Amino acid sequence: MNTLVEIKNLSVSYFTYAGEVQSVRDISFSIEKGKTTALVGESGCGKSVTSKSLMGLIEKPGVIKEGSQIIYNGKNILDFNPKEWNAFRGKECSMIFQDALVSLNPTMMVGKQIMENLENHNEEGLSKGELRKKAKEMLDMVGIPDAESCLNKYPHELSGGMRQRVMIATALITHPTLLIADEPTTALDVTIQAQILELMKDLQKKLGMAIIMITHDLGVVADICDDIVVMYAGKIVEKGSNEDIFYHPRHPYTWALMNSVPRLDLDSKEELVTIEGTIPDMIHPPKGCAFCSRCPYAMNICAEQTPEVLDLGNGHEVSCWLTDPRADVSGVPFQTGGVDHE
Amino acid sequence: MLKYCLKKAGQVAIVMLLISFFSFAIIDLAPGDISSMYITEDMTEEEKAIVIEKLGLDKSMPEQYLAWLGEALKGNFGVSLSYKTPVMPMLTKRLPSTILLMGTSLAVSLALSIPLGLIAGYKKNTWIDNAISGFAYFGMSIPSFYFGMLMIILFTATLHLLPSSGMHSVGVNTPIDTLMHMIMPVMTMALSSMASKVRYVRANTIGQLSEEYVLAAKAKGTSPVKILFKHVLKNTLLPIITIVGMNMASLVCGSFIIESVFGWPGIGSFAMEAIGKRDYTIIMAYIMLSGFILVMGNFVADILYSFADPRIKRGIDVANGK
Repeated sequence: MNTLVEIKNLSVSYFTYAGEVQSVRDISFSIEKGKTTALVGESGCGKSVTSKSLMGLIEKPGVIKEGSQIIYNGKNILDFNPKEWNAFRGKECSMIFQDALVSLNPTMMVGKQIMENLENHNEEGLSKGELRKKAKEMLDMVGIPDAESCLNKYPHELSGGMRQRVMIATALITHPTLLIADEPTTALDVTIQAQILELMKDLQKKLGMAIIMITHDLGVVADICDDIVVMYAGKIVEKGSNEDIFYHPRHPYTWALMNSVPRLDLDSKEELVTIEGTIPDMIHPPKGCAFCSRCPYAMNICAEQTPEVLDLGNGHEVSCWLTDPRADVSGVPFQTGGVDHE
Repeated sequence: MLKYCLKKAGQVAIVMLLISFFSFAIIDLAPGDISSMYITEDMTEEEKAIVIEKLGLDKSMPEQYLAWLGEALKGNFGVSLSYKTPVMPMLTKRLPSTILLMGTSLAVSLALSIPLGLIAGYKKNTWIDNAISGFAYFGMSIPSFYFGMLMIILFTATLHLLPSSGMHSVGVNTPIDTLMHMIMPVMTMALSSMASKVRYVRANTIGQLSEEYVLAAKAKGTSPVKILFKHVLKNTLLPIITIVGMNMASLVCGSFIIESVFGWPGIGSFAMEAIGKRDYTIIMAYIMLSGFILVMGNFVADILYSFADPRIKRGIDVANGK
């Protein structure tokens, strides 16, 4: 095992006037060196909060609860002091944000913003000119034509795709070992999306960093991710390799997600699966399985007790009562228990 | 940019014309005029009429205005009706001392209010913020003539540290002496003008800190100090530029209150005296000067915007077909 980051029992709550919003509830997973892990789930399921915890960017009223651990290279980064955090952020772990227009400072030239990251971690004592040269190389690498003049432009003078490329250049100029991409293509149109994803795959090969891809676009996931973590209402309902999740989903939520994607290879008469209802109130999370109220196969036990995590081998884990031998699985359209690849 | 400047210049001319007309009308409507300075009770009616005619007060308001305007357009602001000397040299003589006082207090208030506002915004709702905001409210609420008198009581009457009035001690003419005279008026001015700036910078800092680009900068490992001064500062400057632009006029015209309280020999106290005497040539020259500087201040602020925020510059260029 070549584990880069191990998240253990991470819980994050936001204390609001209405009460404690339990955004992330006791999740554990690990990220392999040089691999791409996807965090998928609908809005509000805790994906972004998980990634912000990794960067130490949880701010009040958000609190990372006692007992949470994020082990990076043998150290629990949640114990970092502000100085250690600043050395970690940007250097070890970089982040690409969803909307590049608001994530770039409108009054600062693009070149300066790219150089800033390297300047913050300038252990080799590079001069301004050398920093600038590196920034230009980085812009060349992410495929911006005429990188030299782009350095002196302001964000509003660039197109959406260019801005996202600038964000990627900024994040990667320090050669981080982990890159968190928080819905990097959501704000872009489809052709640019494909280019950006291609670019990220390409750069991963060149620089060898691990990527956490946060997305609700399963097309993106299928294309570039090695491992997939499916989150629902602050919990991990299922995780496994790309193939496990796409071809052998065991959780009704995963199954429904996979079947809610329009596909060209299916019979056009077949109706698209939709998931009825909305996610539960996170101030008073349900006692049992959080998906229970929306699950067409829910049983009495689902509302009462949270299902245990079942390890199916090869890192494929699921948390659902349907995997229990006593469950009535007649009419369930996917495999429920036992081992994969039967 | 040239087209933009020409357009602005045209606007300035119209605004100045309107200012001059309305101020002239207001002076005319005010009770009493300069003739009361020369007329005594034991004068006969004919003598009184001669005085009024000599001063040109027998003509109607539009006639007086047009006569004044014709001369003013040629750059001649006339002769003071009370001092019987040309107006402009009297104003320009007092200009340096006013600019010195006002410029220093503007610089002091900017140098203090911008960092204080940034810190208050960054430490929102902590005791530091409360202390700074409380100080700002204090400065905003206390009338400056009252605060000025308190300063005089404390530093002059009780502690005997600072001179209470004027610009020089009698017979002394050193920079140190002038500096000592400046401390109290500058502090009084700065305190009252600082308050609103601190509030503006604080509010803007809070707004900017919740922007995504701040989070992105943090994710690059940028320290809080650098985020505040390299990222947020420039974005919070826009309202400050507006305020400074509007304060430009007082830079040249001085402050009635401060100059009177501290006996500062500047333009403000001079104009105050002229208003008391209804000496309309001085009043008009003073109003034209302050109006012009105010309009120009706003114009300069508009130009400065585009330096603080490059998006505005592009907007100006696009609007003028570039």
